[in-house]
Amino acid sequence: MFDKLKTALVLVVIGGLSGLLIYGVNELTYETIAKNRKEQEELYYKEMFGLSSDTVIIYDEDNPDGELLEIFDFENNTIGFAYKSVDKNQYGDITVLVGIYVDGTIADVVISNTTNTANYVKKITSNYILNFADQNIETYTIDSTTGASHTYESVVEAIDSAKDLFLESEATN
Amino acid sequence: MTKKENFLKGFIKENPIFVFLLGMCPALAVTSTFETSLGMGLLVIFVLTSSNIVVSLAKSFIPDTVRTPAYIVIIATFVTVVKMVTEAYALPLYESLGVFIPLIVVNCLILGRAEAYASKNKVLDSAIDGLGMGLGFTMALVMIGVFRELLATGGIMYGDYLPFFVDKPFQLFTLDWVINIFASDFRIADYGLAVFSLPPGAFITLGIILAMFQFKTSRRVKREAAEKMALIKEKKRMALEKKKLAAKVLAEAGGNS
Repeated sequence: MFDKLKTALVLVVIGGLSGLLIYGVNELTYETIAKNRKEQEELYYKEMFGLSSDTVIIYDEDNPDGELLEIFDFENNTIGFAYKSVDKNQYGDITVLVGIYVDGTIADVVISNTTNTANYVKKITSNYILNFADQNIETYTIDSTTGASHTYESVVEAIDSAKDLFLESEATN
Repeated sequence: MTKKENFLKGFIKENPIFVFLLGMCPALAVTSTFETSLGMGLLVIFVLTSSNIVVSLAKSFIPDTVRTPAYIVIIATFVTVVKMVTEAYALPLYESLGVFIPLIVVNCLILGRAEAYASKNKVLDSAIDGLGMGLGFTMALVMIGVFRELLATGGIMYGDYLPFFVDKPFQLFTLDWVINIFASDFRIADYGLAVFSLPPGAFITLGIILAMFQFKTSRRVKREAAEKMALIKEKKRMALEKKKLAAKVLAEAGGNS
């Protein structure tokens, strides 16, 4: 009985100390991580819409994931829309950004964050996802350019959701 | 074993990758460039040294029945720490290594050292063992990374994934200048062996380096065996001479009497 209690106590202490250490490091790093992610996202938006790196993009930061973000240039003109999809699939977490110009042309589709093997994602991105660019969001095709078996379902879902929101915003305007 | 021997054993004699074939997963998956190899190596050094220290400190408190789970919790804690720190301060490296950072938890090398060494030795010795083994592991990864990147691109880049001490990426080493003595505007990268940046290239590279290691080891073993044989021969010859001398002395003594 005493042995079992001792074992349990040791495990609780190890677990507790581990938790404390992780909590401390998380407190020290989470702001930097969030800042990095935001900067990276902005960089992706700039690349999507062909803007120079020193351009300031104005967008609604409070807009939750899954909403269409309106992207303005420094003269406050709408240059396009961006859709951010955060999903979980069989490979783990995946964040997909879809950029759409005002006329409905897809600017780019980017996997901005994933827990899948980096080399595999690189291959998919360079071989397949880039082919979405310059297609019209209303008439874009998957099979002819990407091959459904090679594309994450999450990417396709993200584009479909972006399409629905884009068309909805077009209708309301 | 002295502290120096303990530290150095991980480099050649007991190298985790080239001798024990441990940690093959990162050795094959993240060594497409010099920088990713170095980055993974640095993370493993930290996790291995820290976990060895903690395991050695806690070895007398941890009951035998829960030894392995307790070690895994300790290792997983340090891996989570390096994951968060890498994401905060080296995002390109974090993205490039991807799932292989969390997978450090199940690296046989780390659990193996905790189980085989740190749980039986003092803190300082365990720390030295972790550092030496980690550096040996890193050396092996970097060797594979340099080999692959050089054959795939004709040069070695720095600054893409490890944003330390440099403002922008630059080429640490390139062979372009050699080619450009004979031709103008020639870039090796355009004609590089792309297969070496892909997974098959990792297997080919590892195979070549392992063959070189085995070649050296077998030569050493042969040399040692030959030296041993020569020593035995010499001892036999000396024993025979002694025997002959003793027989001669005996014969002379018999003649005199």
